[in-house]
Amino acid sequence: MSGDQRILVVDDERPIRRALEVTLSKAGYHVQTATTGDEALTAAALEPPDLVILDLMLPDADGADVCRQLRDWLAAPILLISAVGDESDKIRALDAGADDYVTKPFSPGELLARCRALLRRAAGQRSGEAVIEVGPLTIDLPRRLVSVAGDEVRLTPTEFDLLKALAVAGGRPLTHQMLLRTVWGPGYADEMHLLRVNMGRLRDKLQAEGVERGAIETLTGVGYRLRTDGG
Amino acid sequence: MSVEEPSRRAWLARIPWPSAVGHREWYRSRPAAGLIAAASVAASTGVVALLTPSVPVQSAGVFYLVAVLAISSIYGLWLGIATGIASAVAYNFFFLPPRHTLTISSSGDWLALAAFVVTAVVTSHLASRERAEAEQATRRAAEAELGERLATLIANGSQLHAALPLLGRQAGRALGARDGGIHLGAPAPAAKADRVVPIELDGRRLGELRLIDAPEGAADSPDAARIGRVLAGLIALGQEREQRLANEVEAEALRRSNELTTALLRTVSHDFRSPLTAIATAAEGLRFADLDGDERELLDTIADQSGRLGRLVTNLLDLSRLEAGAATPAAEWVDVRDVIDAAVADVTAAAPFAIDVDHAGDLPLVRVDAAQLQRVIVNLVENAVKFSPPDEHVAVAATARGGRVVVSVSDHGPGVPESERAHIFRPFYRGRAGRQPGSGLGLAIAQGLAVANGATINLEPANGAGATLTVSIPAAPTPERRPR
Repeated sequence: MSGDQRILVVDDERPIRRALEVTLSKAGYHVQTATTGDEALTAAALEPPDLVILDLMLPDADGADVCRQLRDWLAAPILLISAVGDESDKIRALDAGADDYVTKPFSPGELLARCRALLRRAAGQRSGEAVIEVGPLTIDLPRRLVSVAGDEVRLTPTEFDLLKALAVAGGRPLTHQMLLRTVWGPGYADEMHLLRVNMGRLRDKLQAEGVERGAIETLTGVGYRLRTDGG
Repeated sequence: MSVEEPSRRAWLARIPWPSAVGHREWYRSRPAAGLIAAASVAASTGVVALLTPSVPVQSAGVFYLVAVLAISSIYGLWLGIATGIASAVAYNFFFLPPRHTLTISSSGDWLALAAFVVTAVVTSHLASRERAEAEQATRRAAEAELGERLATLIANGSQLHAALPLLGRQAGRALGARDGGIHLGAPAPAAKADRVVPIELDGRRLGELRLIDAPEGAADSPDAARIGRVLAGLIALGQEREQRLANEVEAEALRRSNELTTALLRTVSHDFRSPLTAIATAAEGLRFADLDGDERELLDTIADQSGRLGRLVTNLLDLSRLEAGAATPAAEWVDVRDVIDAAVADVTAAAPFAIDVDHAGDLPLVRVDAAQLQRVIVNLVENAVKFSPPDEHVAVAATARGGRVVVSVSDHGPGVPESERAHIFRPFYRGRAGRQPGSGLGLAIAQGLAVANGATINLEPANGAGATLTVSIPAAPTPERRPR
């Protein structure tokens, strides 16, 4: 199924690199490894991977910089590995174009689920879709309508824009600032209370239609993500 | 103020400090003075008697003036006059005719008597003025020396308490006492012989200078007051400098210990988690192998226990951060419901458990560190799960109550016995009931983080079975909403 999919693992610590290599190989992926930012860029240039797993803490480079350099010319999704408490690093890397992250110590099952989701999303790019379906949610972009199993959910324009931003991201985490800029505008990046209040109301309305609050996942200290599957 | 080199300081210490107001030598005592005066009159009489055969008695009588001059200049006016009168009487009695009577026959004899008395008065007056001036000069020199010495000691970084005995002695001697001692702080009952000079700065009493064997009035003189002020200024300066030095030392120690703690935390955070991740990932790699039931159980043990170790490391890190004061909250606008959902998702991801969440209705936003509040709630929920029977639910609810958002976490476990209620927030405290596994850190960390964020944690009064812990967070007024 995924035998032709190539994953580049970038981590300076051999035990983790090897464990990931073996686990991903057993899961059927073709795995390349790199130990530094430079090696990663070279390896990616020689044989463009379908997914990059990148440790945020590399000895020779800032993870966010590596992300940005890869993102310049590489369309493949980038999954970050980060430590607890690195929220600001995560936000910088997400701003630099990373697609998702897992936090150490992560369960390998979780990692595999994220990999699958990222690869699936990359394969079926949603761009240009007029109607997005996520779980029980149907979001009609041109008509600005949201329905759950056929029943319309009445949202304010702000709530709709918020849901739309999350849905268009297709399961990617969006930082607080990204959402504030997209929905309210560039001058609103620090008006966090607007985001909290509207997110609360949006979840209330979706919950009233039987969509659990966790469908929009809270990434504490980072942002929000619309869950597209069980993982 | 220049810093004295050690040799000069040693030299200073060796000079004999002058006795100014009359640290009395033996010959200055009243009986000795009387005897000496009498002896000098007797000696003059002897000399005159020796000379009279060859010298006219009127000329030889001049020798009495030597005694009068000497006594008046050394002992002052009154003894000088007494010596003058005694000389006149002796001269009259032994040498003036009629001899061996006190009858004065000629006006020349009156003249001689008057000369003795006038000499005594003038000489003693001059001598005492001279003496007073000399004493004053000596005292000023001593005071200046004392001030310089005090300042030198303090400027050189000598410790105040080590310098005080020497300063006390010298200040005492400068005031004419045999010895002196400085006593800081509240006045203590002094020995009767002591005279006490208060050391005060702007009406604040720093201590006192106790004089030992001091002359009458030495403690009340203007000199004493001046020396008291000088001492007060210098002692205050010394104390301030020592305080500042102590503060600097403390700040430096704190800074170093913080640096160490931060470095340690960073190391532990990275160096413990990476192996744990490697272990968990490596174990997961084995899941693809063809394992039988027993082997799969061993694999589960590796996965579960490395997960448990990971949570323990997180707890220890949190506790060290809290104790090092490094858990500075990054406050932001937070919807408590978001945090509760994320916390419950965290707990159930580690081990599935039935948790009922009820946070319906509008809750005001709060301003806290979201990640820290999440740790607080995770720890409370984990604690509740730990003490709950497996088939019972844990309930998490949030309500707005009197300007606060109150999150309660309830279980149906054994509850907290009255005797343990005061202890459950102590680090490493583990309840006796149930002998649950755990580090005893969860609630301590929860409380530490809650307090750091302006919230409080309480154990609700026992109400039937189970225990209820609440987190009470002050609601923050939401700013005016700007138009979109």
